[in-house]
Amino acid sequence: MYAENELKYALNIAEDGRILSATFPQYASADAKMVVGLPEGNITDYLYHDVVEEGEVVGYYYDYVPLPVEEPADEPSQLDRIEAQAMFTALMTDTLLEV
Amino acid sequence: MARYRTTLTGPQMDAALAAMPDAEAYARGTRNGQEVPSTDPTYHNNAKYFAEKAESAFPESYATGAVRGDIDQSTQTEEWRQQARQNMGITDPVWGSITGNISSQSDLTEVVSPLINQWDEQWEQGRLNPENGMELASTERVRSRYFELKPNTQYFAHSTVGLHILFFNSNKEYISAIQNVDNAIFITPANTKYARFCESVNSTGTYNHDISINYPSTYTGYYPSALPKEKSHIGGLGNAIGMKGWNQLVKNGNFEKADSWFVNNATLSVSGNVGSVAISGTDGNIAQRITPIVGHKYLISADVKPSDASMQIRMIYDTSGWSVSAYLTGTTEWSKMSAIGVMGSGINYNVFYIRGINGSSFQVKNVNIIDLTSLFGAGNEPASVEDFRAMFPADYYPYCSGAWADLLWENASPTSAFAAQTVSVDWTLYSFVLVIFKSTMTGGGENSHIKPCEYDSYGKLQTIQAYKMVYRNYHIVSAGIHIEDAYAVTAYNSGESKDNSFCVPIKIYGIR
Repeated sequence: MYAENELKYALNIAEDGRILSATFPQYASADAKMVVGLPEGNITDYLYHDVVEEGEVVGYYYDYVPLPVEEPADEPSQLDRIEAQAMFTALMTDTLLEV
Repeated sequence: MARYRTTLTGPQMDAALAAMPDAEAYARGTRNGQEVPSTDPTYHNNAKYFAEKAESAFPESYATGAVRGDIDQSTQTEEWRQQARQNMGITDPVWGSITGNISSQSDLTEVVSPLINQWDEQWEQGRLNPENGMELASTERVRSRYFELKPNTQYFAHSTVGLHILFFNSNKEYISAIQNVDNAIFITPANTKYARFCESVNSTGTYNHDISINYPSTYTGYYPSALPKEKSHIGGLGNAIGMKGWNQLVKNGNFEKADSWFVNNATLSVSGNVGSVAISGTDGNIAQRITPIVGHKYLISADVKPSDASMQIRMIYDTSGWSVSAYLTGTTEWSKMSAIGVMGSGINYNVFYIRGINGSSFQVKNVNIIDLTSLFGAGNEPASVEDFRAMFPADYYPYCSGAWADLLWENASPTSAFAAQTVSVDWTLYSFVLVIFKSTMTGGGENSHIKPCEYDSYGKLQTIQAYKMVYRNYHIVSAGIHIEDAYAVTAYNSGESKDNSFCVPIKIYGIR
């Protein structure tokens, strides 16, 4: 295993092993996974796995499993934009008339 | 009050004794003919103390003679004088002390002790019955809350009118009271653990700056309280002003919960403000990561009860070894381990630990680390654990970094997306949390949001990025701060889409 001063990062990990975020040891919670290095790029594209031998954790590795890209919400149509602008103008007019 | 050490004999000494209540203790090391104990506030200032230090340095006892008043100046040498000055911690010549050649006040050396106001400067409307300690309603009186004092100890009470000071035991049961104390020394009764006072409401106006309960028992003007204060929520920043310098660096040192403690070859369970540590194998410990300052003097202390008679409490391994260490052997009873030491250079491991060796599991409570240099100033730190305890008698003080704001968490990969998650931070010691976040994981400017801890409402990290309004909510939960997914809204009245590349938290601060 690693010496205390080699552990540079603490991982917050989801139940399925996906890395949620990383912080530094002084801010780590007691159950954080302590590691010597982070995967390259977007760390949330990786799963963390313990290496277990004879019932003891002897190391870890990262598994690159990027999240599926969510489809963005439908872009508003030209009619949506016109309706939105008309509603906005009406709201502003009402506001001004109340003064 | 300035203290002057001098060599007086005969009528001069008698006059000095009559003029100053503590003169006998300071000059002769006795009070009413009895030896002053080491717990007496005058002890480290009195002639006997310095005489013993000088005498131990050179048994020829010339310095002893000088301090006690019978000197043979012709036989003294500058070397001996210098040695005496060093042993007394005095850099300038002290001709009055060492040689007895006093021709004017300029020949004397002033010795000033750090003063600590024991009152926490918290007061409330109402009065106290000096006959039984009961609280009574009154619009003409104000009263303090309970504050801690040591038993059989001398303090100085400063007020513009007489104070009624009431003493209580550890169960806050009334013991006795003294009335109309006005700029005077008083001695606490046996079994004293707490005190309160009350006074007229129209006598001062701003009570906090007029009343001092000082230790040591002298007064040279108002001293703000250096004692830790309870956190208040809205308005807490004002109280934090008085906390400058005060610190206690161990989190959950009272084992109210196990958070912040790490275990090595051990398990930790907590119950009733006691931590029970079971060691696996022959050597295990519980530890916390701290960041000490090289050259600062630290006090470490803990109450421990080993199952075997081997215990250690250590702080920071540096290139020359452990900077501050205490050891306990030969007992399986509850014992207080404590030590004072200076943080060395070349720090290897930022760790403070409590260790059971030889297979010794143990129970532990009341763990404190005090940065004495930050609290008292360089050169003014207490020389011994006993000196510190005389001023700060409580077994445990809550965590306090000494700063208004503490960095509680930092994102080690700010160029990554940030999914919904709970970040584990202990916000309970703070009035507000401040979240710094980036607009996007790949760039964008830094933004911030501050949220009071006491309101169960959502904070919102929100900004505009590339013609989109992007945001994510966060709120405080018992385990820390839960930060939700981020969303982007592209146009008025249109839908929003989840995108955790936006509003990426990079730092979280706690503000007192």
